[in-house]
Amino acid sequence: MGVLSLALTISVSSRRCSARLLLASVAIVLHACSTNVITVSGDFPVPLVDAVPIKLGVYYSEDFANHKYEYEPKGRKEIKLVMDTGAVQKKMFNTLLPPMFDQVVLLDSFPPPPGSDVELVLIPEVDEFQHAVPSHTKINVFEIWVRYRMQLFDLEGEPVADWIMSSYGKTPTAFMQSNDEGINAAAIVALRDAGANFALNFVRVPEVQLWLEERAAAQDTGETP
Amino acid sequence: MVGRTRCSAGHRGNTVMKWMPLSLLGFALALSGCVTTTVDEMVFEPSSELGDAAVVVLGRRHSSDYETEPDFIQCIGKEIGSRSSGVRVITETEFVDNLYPWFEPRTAPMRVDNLERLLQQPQVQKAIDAMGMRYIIWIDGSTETTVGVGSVTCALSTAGGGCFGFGSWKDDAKYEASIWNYDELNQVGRMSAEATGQSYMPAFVIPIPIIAPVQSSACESLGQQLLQYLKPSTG
Repeated sequence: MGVLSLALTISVSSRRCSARLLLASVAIVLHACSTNVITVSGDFPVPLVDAVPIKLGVYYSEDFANHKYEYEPKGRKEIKLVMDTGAVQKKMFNTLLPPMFDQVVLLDSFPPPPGSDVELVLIPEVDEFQHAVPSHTKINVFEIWVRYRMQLFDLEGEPVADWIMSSYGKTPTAFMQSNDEGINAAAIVALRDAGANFALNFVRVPEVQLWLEERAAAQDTGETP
Repeated sequence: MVGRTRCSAGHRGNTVMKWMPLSLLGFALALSGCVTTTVDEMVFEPSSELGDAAVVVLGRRHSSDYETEPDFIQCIGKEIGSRSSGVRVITETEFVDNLYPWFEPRTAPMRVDNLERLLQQPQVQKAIDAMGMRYIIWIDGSTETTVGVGSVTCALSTAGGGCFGFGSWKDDAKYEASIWNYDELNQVGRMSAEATGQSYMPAFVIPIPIIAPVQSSACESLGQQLLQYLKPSTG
């Protein structure tokens, strides 16, 4: 597409044949070396769930906060794809978590500094990220898969829970919609799915359930968990 | 079951040779192919007086190989909402966002029983009640290009460019609407619309697409049928 549009521009804007050929060649070389960079963006709704009675700290690692997915082309017809997803994933968790817990504190470091008013620290990490476009699958949908590793720690930095959470998003092709828009829409659906999975299943994680039960028992006996 | 075929032809083009490419383009824009639509309806219970109550149209997104198009859902919403000022239609985005995460593809109730179970969450029931909901309409289906024949070749050189050839393809739209009564928590009706149309693209220097409006015909037919159910007086 890029080659075609540039070549069309050349034929109407320049009358000198040599300049046309040169520019057309440049266009072909540029296409061969080009990288498609998508900064995923979107908005997320606030979850309609009961708050879990936990003072939660959240720490986004450098890798998570600046997460980029890179896809190397596997054929001459493909170009390299880079998806910048760090900011939008932070945005999703920052929207999702506050209504889900009694209190949420964003931490700059882990383990948290002494005196931090949190009980548990959540550290999300992207374990795997994949995409598929209609030209790969011959199905008229854009697809995104994300596998997260979710870790919960106590204030001493000891692991409390560690589980894998998967999410999937797809969006159909549409008239006048570019590949970038399709991929972005599928990524937003996948992030919403991740949020739904986390919101509905957090208290069902066996280690979290156990921690909540132990804390409730300790509170009944007047001990700290 | 109701079936019909709709075709429309464009206006005559300008015959001045100098303007032929432009007139061809305009002519092509005005052309459209033939579409055959079939609507089927199964009503279990007549609709109750809608009054100020709202209706929401939602798309099913659970299938692995297709997805009900959001623009089709918007189209159905407009068909129901625009043809009668009496029907208040809540948009899919507003409904799904207000009830996040309960109506996402992985969590949405597939059957009325599941909705009943979901309403045991007080905050969910409160949010749906606040919208004044009466009917939840689920749409499942998609439009697919099934058969494609012919080819159009385009060439571009420093001396100019153009396209030659002939292409034709068939679009099939299949959608099913399931109407849930939110007040009584039961399924009150089921409707389906199927539309088929052949599109053509002859190309002589300029490609002239003659597109069959398959999806919009399915939307119009299904929308009218739904509206007739919701507001029998409008039919």
